[in-house]
Amino acid sequence: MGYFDADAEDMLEVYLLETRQLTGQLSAVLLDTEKKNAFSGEDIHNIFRIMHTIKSSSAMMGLQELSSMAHKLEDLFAYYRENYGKMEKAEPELFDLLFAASDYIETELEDMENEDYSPRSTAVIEERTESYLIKAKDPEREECAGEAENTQENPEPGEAQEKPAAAGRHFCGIPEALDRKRGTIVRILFETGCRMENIRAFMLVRQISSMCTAVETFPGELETSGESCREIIENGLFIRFETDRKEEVLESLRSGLFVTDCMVLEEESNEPSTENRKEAKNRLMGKKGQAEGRETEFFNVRSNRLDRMQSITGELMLHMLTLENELESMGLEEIREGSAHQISRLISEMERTVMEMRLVSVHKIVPRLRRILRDICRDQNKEAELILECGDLEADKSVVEYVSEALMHIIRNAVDHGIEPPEEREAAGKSRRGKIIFSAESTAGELRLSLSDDGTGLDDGKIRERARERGLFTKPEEEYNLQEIQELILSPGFTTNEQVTEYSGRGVGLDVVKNVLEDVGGNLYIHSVKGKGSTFTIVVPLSLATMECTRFRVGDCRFSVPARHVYRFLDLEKNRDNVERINGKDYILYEDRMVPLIDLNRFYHLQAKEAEHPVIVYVRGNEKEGCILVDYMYEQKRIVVKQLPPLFGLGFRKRTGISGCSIMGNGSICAAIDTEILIGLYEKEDVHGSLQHQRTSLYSGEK
Amino acid sequence: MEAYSTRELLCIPGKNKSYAIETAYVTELCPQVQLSRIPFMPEHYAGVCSYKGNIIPVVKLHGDEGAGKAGGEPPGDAAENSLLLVVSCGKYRLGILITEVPYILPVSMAERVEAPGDMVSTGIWAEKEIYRNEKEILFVIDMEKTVESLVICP
Repeated sequence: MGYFDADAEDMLEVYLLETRQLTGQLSAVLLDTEKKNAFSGEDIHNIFRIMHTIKSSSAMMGLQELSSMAHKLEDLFAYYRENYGKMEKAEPELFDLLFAASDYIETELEDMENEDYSPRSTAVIEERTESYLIKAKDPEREECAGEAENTQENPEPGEAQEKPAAAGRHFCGIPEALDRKRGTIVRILFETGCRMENIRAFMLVRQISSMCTAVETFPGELETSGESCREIIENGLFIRFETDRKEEVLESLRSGLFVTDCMVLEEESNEPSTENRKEAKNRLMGKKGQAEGRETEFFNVRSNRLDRMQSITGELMLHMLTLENELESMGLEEIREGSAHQISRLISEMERTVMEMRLVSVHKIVPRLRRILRDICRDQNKEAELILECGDLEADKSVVEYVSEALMHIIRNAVDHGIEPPEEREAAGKSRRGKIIFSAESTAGELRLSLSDDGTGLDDGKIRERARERGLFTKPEEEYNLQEIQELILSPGFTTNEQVTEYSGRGVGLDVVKNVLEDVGGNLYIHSVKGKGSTFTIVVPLSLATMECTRFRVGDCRFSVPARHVYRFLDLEKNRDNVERINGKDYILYEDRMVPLIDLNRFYHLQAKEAEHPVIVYVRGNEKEGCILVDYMYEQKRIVVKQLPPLFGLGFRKRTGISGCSIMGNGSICAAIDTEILIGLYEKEDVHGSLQHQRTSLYSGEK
Repeated sequence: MEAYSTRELLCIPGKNKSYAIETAYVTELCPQVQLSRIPFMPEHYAGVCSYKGNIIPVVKLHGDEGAGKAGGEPPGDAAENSLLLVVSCGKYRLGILITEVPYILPVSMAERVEAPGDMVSTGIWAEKEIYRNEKEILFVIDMEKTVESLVICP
């Protein structure tokens, strides 16, 4: 960390965490206020509070530019708060300014951990903020003032000074626990609603402890949040300290985060006795010990350490499989079922725990989606709102990161290609403002996220035209159904947008999104109705590290499918009468419908002898269902599915339906099948076996 | 020039043709490998194997190592007498199945032979230079070109 000194470096993680939370809050306030085009008193206060905190903490970190910018914005909102109370109409430029500040902070936060970090200039934002403040203060040019309303509930200028946050609190004097003791006693009040008052109090105490020979607080048990938090909210935090640097301690307390008041209740200049010092130190050390206990309940861990731990757990699982296999082959059943079983159970538990540690809320994607929607709508003079239909779901951190990027791309596309300009929408009998619905659900180990817009929908005529131009049809055009036509937009470089905009039309499109999702074992689906809108659905596993899989053998090849896709096993012998050949392909009657029956031996051209007791595995993905004919079933296991080696190439998955590999206990390699692609390939196979030819041509090295 | 002259080649003798690979590309030489089949791997591939927890495709050097024809018999046992040369080139890592014991030859110890202007690579290996070591003619494999051509579905 080149930029920060040792002290600041120690605090960097906490600073990043807290400032990220604050920018998240700022972003939420801005998106909300911009939507209603008004700042309530609470909104103004919130922005003031956020800037105040960022100002102080950034100064503490030695980030003068950031602190100075936050200071100017704090001044601006202090002025609004004191003079306007609230703003009924706000200028778009004010939002632009605040979003620019928010972006600046976020970019800085991203870079701070880099070795070569150096703060960027905030001159432009500060200049704009100053001119806003001047404009607000100058009655001649005070456009904002005309737009701002001084309603009755708003105090007159000057009267709206922030009241002490705890004005309504009852002051009950020095607590008995601290009364008549040596040192200085102060009462600290925190800003109302700053939350985690006990933790903030603990941080304050920690901040001054190096300057004091003794520190004592009331409430004493800052670590037990329920009690001490309530106490601090109601009566404030009382600190008794003994020091020869009193002024410095008081200054440090006054400049503490969220501190609104620091009243000195009792002062004593007498130096405490050595005995008292020792006692105080012991007390403090005791408190520190307790506080550390508290810290161990919640602490931040670098994500790369979790990645490493997850990877080690995966390796352990692999080795355990090998060990179990070897113990079995050596006939050491007692060890296999005893100690080895216990170790295996513990490894599984560890794997689950690591997986849980990596879970983050899916909801954290929403602010980014709102922001991108806001930006693109403004740029394109369109109107759209994001409607949420999702509960409190969690998924693996890297899954959320993957889908976040994918969803950003889809939402950009939805506005760029889908949502019509307001006038056009009105003419079509739609509301001026378009709707984009974000829904999320999790089912059987999968995360399913959809973005639906009520825009124009996909124009299959235009898609056909562009596909013809680009030679994307791989079979006679008339043989394509609507779904297949719509899926052509997932082809590399496909775009029907004539103009290149900042957001799309660059040819880097949904194919990239699809590839990224497929790389992590996910899929992208499109459903669109012309004139009514489109829905893009992303389905990804909740965790990327390991997967519960059903494994089987066909000939000398091993395969696996996600266990969540496997619903039933059938005996081929008992179901032979239900098998029919339709258009050169096998189908089997399953419940009340004919579903594809894929003989992997034939499909993959394995040239294996027919098994004595073949098994039919009924699988159902998100969109497709079918049956797979296999020779032999292995035990269901949670396994590490690895990506295909780069030498297989990007097209291998699409041409074969094999999406990854895993290592079995005996060291052999098992090919992971993508259920959807496999069934899709089988269904698309024509009577002449064109796809079969494409696949088998791979054997001879044809590409 | 210094760097060039200290270049070393890993030479792999063959019945009909001997190859050499610059040692910079060689990661490891493994004595025992367990190969597995993955459908639709071209015939010049012997299969895939697990190497330090990673899965790597394995290519036959002369085309007759292992019996693991993609469409034929299982490769597992047939690879028992072979050695696996693990090589890395850019983002690609692969195993090369060899049957003869290789040896290292500093380039300075070998005599460079002028290649014909129209030297065409035979099979899957792109060749870039020819050297002579005593009586043996060695074809130096151009790994970069070779791995690009080995990609199954680009």
